[in-house]
Amino acid sequence: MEFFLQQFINAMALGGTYALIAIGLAMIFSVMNLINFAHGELMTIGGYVLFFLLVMGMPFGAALLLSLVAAALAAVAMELVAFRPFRNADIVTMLLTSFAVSSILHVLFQNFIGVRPKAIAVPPAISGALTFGTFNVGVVPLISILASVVSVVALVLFLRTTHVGVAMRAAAQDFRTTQLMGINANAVILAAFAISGLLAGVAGALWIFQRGAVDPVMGVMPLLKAFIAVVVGGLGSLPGAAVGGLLLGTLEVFLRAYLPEGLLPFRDAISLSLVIGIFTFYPHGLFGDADAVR
Amino acid sequence: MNDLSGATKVDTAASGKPLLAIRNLNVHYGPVHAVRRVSIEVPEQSIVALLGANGAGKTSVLTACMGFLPSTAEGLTFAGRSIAGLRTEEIVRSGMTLTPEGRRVFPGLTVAENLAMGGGATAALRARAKVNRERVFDLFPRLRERLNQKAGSLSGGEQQMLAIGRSLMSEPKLLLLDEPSLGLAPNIVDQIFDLIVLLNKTGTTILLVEQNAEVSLDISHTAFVLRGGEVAASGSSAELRGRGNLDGLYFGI
Repeated sequence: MEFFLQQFINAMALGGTYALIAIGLAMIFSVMNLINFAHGELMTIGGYVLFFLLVMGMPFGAALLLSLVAAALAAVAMELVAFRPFRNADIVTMLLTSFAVSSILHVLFQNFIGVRPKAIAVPPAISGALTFGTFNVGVVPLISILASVVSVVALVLFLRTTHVGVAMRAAAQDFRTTQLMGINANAVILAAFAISGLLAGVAGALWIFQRGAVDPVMGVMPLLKAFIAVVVGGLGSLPGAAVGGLLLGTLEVFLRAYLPEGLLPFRDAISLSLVIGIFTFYPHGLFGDADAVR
Repeated sequence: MNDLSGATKVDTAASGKPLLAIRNLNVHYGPVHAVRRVSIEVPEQSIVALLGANGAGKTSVLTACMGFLPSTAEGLTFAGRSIAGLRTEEIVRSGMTLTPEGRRVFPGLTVAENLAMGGGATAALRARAKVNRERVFDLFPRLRERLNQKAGSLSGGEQQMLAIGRSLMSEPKLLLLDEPSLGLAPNIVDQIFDLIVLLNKTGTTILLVEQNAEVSLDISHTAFVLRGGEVAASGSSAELRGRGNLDGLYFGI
């Protein structure tokens, strides 16, 4: 039971992190039909900013906060430099653009910062564990769950109560009609990028708390997982992305915990097979609708 | 709706200077020349009907005016100012709004949120949104009852009311209405046309695209008939109505 509870906390922590990345991806897809494969690099950028600020001697909290801002700004810069010129282009053109951005950033990280991981000293208060009687639980998973919940609640409030938030939901349903209302489409898209960058920054920080280092391709694996989560949830659906992320994280953690030793190497294969199983029953994803892709 | 049975137009209108003046507008879809040298004037305070068969280019004219479709024109002026090449949001801010064909309400947003989007173009509009919303509710009391309901759950007629109400939230001087009667029950259609007359009486100029020629000619001051992307006939609505053979005008037979 204790083991199960521990694994459950781990599952929610990993799933929550995937969900944050997946929500950012889904958000951009829903407003502009772009699957941003450079989204994972936003995590990495946040990580490097955190690293350099700490090296410069900034207190951890301040450096962390600025690294989130940096991830959001980097997302905005991506939109302005790379995606805006292709605004109404074919979905494949935009997809390839995002691959290009991702590759360029990898090379820049490798050449100007270094291929080797940069260690980030996470304060002991975060890297430690809490003990309740005989029950040990890491602080990082608890922070991950808390951060994911707070981020999602803040996002939902933003989308429901602010003008820009409602405009983003409108744009996700019908972009052309939103423009027809006289609403500044560029502003809505910029806001979507800023928020997705912020979420990626939070996810990146959680990822780094777990691993204690940042390297040039840190964002690749989580992005891939988040992309699967987005597709499982139904392309473009934010609740779908959140559920997809939690589902994928749960699968991964529990397979690692309960699979017999001999099957462990096939963990990803098994979890992806289960995902494919979902598609046989929900071909458009759990929350997707047939004509979500215009 | 109070006593507005029997749509009658305002006779004092249709005398003003053109609020919207389109001179030799052309729209191309690839190799297809969909709108050819179309010139239309919409006098201030009037209702102008733009009629024609399916595919005659009516919607293209409206969307081109809104800067929503690449087009060329010798002149495209609204309220005395050239709007050629302006972005849609700038055109909406200057006081021209389109209620699109097929209503296009945001189905997943509530009625209140849909209205907020209609009045969301500028901070000044947003500040007056409350007042404007009350005006919309005076016209469409049903919307007040449905305020927190998702727009997608409304009936077709209610959605059309919402679509028009949403447009009114931007305080348009000129309202472009694209097929407001499409797919609605006859009694709802009557309501919508009564409402168009009422809107006009309260100072909104209207350019109305319709399939329903009879009623459109009843309530409009002037009318233009498009055929194959060109203006096939134009004149006062009464005169066009007097000619009788509208099918002939539509199809050139």
